[in-house]
Parts: sequence; C-alpha cells; structure tokens
Amino acid sequence: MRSLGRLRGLGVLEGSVKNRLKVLRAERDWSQGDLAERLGVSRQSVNAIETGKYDPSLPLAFRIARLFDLPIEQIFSDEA
Amino acid sequence: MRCGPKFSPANRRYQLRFWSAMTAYVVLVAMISWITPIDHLPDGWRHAAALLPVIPIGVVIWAMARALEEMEDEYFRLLQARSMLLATGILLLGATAWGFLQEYTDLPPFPVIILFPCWCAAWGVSAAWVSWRVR
Repeated sequence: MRSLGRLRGLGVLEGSVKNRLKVLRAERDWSQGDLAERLGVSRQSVNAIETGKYDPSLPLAFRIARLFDLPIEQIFSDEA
Repeated sequence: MRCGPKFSPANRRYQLRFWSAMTAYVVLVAMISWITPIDHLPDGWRHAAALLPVIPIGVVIWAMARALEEMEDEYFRLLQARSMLLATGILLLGATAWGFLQEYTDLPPFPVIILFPCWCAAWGVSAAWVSWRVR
C-alpha cells in the first residue's frame, strides 16, 4: 500500500488543497446536510471535502464560491 | 451500481439497460444451450450462435460505463471509478497467478467464460473496501 500512499501524496487519491468550508458552514449554522442540499451533492461529498479527503472539481468549487458569495481563493488554498 | 439517488433518471436508465441486457443474456444462453442446441450447425453458424450471449454482456459493460459518466455526485463517481480500477487489478493479478500455476503445476485451465462474473465479484469486494476506507 506504499504506492497508494505515494498517490495520496500526489493528491491523486485524496485532497491536497486546504479549505475553509467547515468554518464558513458553521458561521451560517448549516449542517453538512444543509450545505449538501444547497450544492446539490451528497452529505458524504461535503464531509470528504471538509476533511481534506477529496478536492472538489472546478465547477463544484465555483458553485461553493457562489453559494458563500466569496472568491474561490478565499475558500480554497494550496498547502505549499 | 447506484448512480445518484435511488429513483433518479440516471439510475432508472441504468436499471433498465442492465436488466434488459441480462434478460437477453439468459434467453440467448437458454436458446443456444437447450431450446435450439447449436452442436449440429455448420462451423460458421455455430461460431456466430455461440457468440450471441457476448452481445448483452457488451451492453452491460456499456451500461456500467454510461452509469459512471451519468453519476450525479462527483465524489461517489470517484469512489466508484476507484473500486472498478481496484477490481480490474485484482482480476488481472488473479488471472496472472492462475496462468503461472496452470503453466507450472497441474492446475486445470481457467474457465474464461466466468471472467466477467469474477470481475463483478471482485468489484463487489473492492466497492465494500473503498466504502469502508472512506467511512
């Protein structure tokens, strides 16, 4: 499973981008389910994005940015 | 394979494609095996008739690929693709291992007619593993 670890390190299997989704959601007092419904995705997707297990696609990232009325870079940032 | 909510149009389309193809498969296998046995047909016709059940299996594979493309939730699509890739890896590894054992020991030839059901079984295991990993 070392190779899987490498792929994860490259961001192929898991997220490599940090995000403020959990904070933004908490500020609005939304549950993961509420946010998922507003975005039209599953609650598991929201959880995976928040916990850094999954980086959303560009269209979904734009939907998230529109929902919070913020530029994408204020929600997502790379770890470098 | 689930491609979104249980009763989503994408899921209904997949169910329709899958079950239509599987029904055709069962009918064709029954036809060439018991209803009109093909043993006495001339070679060309026998080959063509023997290949008939492959067509609905092709349709099932196409339906799986379409369902993956039409899956509404991108995260579930990634998990599904990951489990399919893992199932393919398991099958290739298993087939290679069987091949070596067949070559160097007295293991009988692998019945390749069950290759697709084997992949489906491997997919079931890999899907459960992938789901467990991301809990």
